[in-house]
Amino acid sequence: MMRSCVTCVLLILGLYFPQMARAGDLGCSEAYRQCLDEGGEPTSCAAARKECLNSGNSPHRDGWGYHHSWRYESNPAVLPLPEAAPTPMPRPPQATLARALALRPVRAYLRAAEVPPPTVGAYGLVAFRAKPTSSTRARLLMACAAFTASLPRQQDLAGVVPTSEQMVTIWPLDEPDAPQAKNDDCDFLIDHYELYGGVSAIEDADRRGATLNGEGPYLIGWSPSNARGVPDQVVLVVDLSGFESQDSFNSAFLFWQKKIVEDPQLWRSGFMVERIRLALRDFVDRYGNDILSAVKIFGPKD
Amino acid sequence: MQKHIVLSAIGLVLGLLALAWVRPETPSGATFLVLLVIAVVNAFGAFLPLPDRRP
Repeated sequence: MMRSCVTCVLLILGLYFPQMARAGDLGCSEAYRQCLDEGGEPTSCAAARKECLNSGNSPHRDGWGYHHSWRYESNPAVLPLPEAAPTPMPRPPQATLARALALRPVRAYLRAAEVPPPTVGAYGLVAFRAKPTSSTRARLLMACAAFTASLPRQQDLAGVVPTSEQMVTIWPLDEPDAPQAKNDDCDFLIDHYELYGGVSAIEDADRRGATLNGEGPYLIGWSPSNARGVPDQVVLVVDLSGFESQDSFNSAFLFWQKKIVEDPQLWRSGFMVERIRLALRDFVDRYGNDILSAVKIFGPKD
Repeated sequence: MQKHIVLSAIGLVLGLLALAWVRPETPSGATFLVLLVIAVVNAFGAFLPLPDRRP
């Protein structure tokens, strides 16, 4: 009887301990917000919050800030620590602060073994089904051009945006440190694409229930960044299989850059219609010329 | 015959709406899209039980 009571108490403590730790963090964050509301400097408020957390409360940022959402404001009580600013800045309004904390889309070249990169908020991957051949090269070059044109390099944001606030779109590459990679040479990027990274990402998305039967390429994202391989986590897929023109690839990458980071749920329902439109446009543009030329053969001669 | 004239008129209107939505990049793509929609509307309309009064 006594033993079962002790077991019950331990069980209850075990169940509630995480909530207790989070409640402590909640208090620090609220104090931090209150400090900001009372007109305190962001750096001094952040230092006070840091001391509060160091005194025994755990931050729990990953468990709270990114779960089922790619933005911190999914739990408005938990605010991240800002980077130490060299000069005091004017206090932003609450809405601006929340918007500034959204994940920033960036791009990076990494070896497949280095995926997922540690500490990033969320990440995505450009997934090919196969290395370029003479028939697929043009499309993959378009995908590469759209990738390099629409996303800023991760190095450009170093020191400006912490890695935990970045949504990194990765191009798997077997030589990420090569000078051609630094110059965004698309011929080099598709020739040295590391196929294992792409194929394993497609297989993982397949296991999560996405149906990827096209020729690709795909944009596949995971949120939070440690969600890969975990059942019931958000997996986002943009299928670029039907696209034939540079403009369609550009639109898809701009969509990825803007909408996915803002709201993955919106993207899930919204991109399907846009994808149909782009695929239909590429279809009529591709076959329109051929069919009208064929009609001209039988039509009046000039 | 009259049925297909009506269907072609409907197809033309739908084709122009499709043109506004799809926004093809080439003139031949735009022409093909409108013709395609007219053809599809006529093909589906042939199965509809509409009265076909000959002029």
